[in-house]
Amino acid sequence: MLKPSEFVLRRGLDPAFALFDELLQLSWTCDSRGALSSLSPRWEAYTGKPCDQLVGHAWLEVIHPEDLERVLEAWKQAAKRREPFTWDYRLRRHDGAYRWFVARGLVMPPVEGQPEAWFGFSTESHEMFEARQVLEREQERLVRIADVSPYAFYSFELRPDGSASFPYVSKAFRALYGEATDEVLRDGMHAVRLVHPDDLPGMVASMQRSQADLSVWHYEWRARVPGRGEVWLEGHSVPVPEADRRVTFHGVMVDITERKMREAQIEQLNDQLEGKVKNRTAALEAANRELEGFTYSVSHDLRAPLRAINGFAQALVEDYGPQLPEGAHRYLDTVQQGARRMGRLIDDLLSFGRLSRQPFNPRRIDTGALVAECLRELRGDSTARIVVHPLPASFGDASLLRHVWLQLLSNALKFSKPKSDAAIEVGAAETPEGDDAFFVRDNGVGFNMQYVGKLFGVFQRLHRSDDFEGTGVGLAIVERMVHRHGGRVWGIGEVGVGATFSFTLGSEAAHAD
Amino acid sequence: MRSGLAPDILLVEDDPSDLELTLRALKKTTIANRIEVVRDGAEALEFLFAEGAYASRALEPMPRLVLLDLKLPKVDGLEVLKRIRQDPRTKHVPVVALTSSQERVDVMKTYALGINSYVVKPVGFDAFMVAVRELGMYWLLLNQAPEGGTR
Repeated sequence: MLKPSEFVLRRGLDPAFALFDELLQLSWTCDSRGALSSLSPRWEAYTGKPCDQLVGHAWLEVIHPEDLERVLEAWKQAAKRREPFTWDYRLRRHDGAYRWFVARGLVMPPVEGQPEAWFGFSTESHEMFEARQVLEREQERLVRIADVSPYAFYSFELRPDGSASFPYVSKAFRALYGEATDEVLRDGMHAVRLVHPDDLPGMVASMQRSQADLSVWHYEWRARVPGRGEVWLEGHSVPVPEADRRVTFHGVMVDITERKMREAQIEQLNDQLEGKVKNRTAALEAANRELEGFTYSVSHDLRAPLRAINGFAQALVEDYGPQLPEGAHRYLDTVQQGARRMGRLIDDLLSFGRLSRQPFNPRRIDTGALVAECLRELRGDSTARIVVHPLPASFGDASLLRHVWLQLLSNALKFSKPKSDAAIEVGAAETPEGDDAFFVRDNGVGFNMQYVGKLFGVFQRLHRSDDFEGTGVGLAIVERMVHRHGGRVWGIGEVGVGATFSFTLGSEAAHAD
Repeated sequence: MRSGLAPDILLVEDDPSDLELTLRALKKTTIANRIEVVRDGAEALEFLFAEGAYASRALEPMPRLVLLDLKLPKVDGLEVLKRIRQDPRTKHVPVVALTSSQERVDVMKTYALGINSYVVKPVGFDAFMVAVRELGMYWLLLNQAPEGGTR
């Protein structure tokens, strides 16, 4: 079978030129120096220049300046070796736009007595070339992104004969597999052999599942990597079935050793914390039980001797009163007063403990109604002028808040009693923090701010018992109750002028839990 | 203690001072003439069920009222109360707790066990007198005992 060129040569003709003229490509002939000796008419149609203006080396004018040097060098090489050549270059169109062409040239069969000649075709390849460039740029972009990512991108091909390979891995892959990387890239199964034996069955099963239903594969496993020791890896990939029952998993892998260590640490800390909380709770419960036991025995055992003191002093007066001198009666009175006072102290202390342990049931409370109720209970024969301003609703435990108001109001009544124009004012003001602060103000005996730190201590009193009755537990209870509500309480006073006690309650939201 | 006749009140009290004061108060009221005193829970149960030292006592009639201190040696007041309420012979006997404890748990527990009344011994003697007189009045004079009860 003859090639067309051989066929025409045999006939002693050189009809190729006639054919060349009709080709869609730009065809040409040139000498060994690259000077064009003929051009097909399409040259003129494409470049807009008559062909006689392109002959010789004039054609170089329509080559893109950037490609010129490369084209000349390629030509030189081809001419020297007398081998067929292929090159890419841009050729200027009639409108000035450069388009990519691919040129293919051959040396012509020698003809006796004629100088060496070449012929060739330049085929427009612009769209293809551009598409290829776009593809290359796209690929380059993906590789750049993949290589800069801390995740290792990979394609893992699994074959039905049980062999495997990594046709593509990004740079980070080497960081994962360290010294073993080369071996893993030679034989994909080596990566599988590095998996911790405990994690391998689960990993294989998960890959089979993913392969079967073409679902995204995700797994975390330990690998024993030479030079790195045991590391935790995490993989995400998507299986793509290929010809010959092969399947390729395309995905990412990342080293999660640090995360796993942190998780383990957090778990350990949580366990420790839980243990600590348990111990503390147990200690607190034990302390509470102890306190309850203490309270119980105080309640029983401390009151009994007082009853005896008081009772027998009374019996003494009743049975032997007439025989006793006046002084003895006074002493017995003092004994009984002392016993009664001690009884009150015990009762107050017990109620302090009881109120502290009482269950806490917060709800919305009509503060105005609560204050009015407390005042009705306390007022008695007091002549004090009492002004109650409108009070906002509060959120708290009704029974505990009742104690707070009763205590503050009874204090105000008690300490203003000596004044002939006793006046008490109850109201609410907003604190700089935006909370409602309730206050009870009196124009009573007041107190010295020097001792303000002692106001809320148990059994702390700023007045002598002779002047004002009391055990010094009331304000301690108030402070406890207010603290249980998440609020605070404070007092300001001036001797002889009066005192103001204020308190806030925690917000409703704070009690929501 | 006059044997043979049922007491008006069985007073269970271990504290000698409280005992003397209670007896003094009861005497002043003149409501109760016959008062039997036992000093701990075990003795109280022996008396009520005519066992041990009281084996010779006739079981019937029962005391018209038991005044029971809750904190007692050997068998405590709550246990005594429980046994009284469990036994068909004694379950209708009125029992009043006379105690120092104001603790809510004690109050709840004794009511749960079927106490008839719970009286806290006041520290002041006058208040103590009033308390004893009032409960004597109520339980011995005003209260209607159930049919087939303790009389």
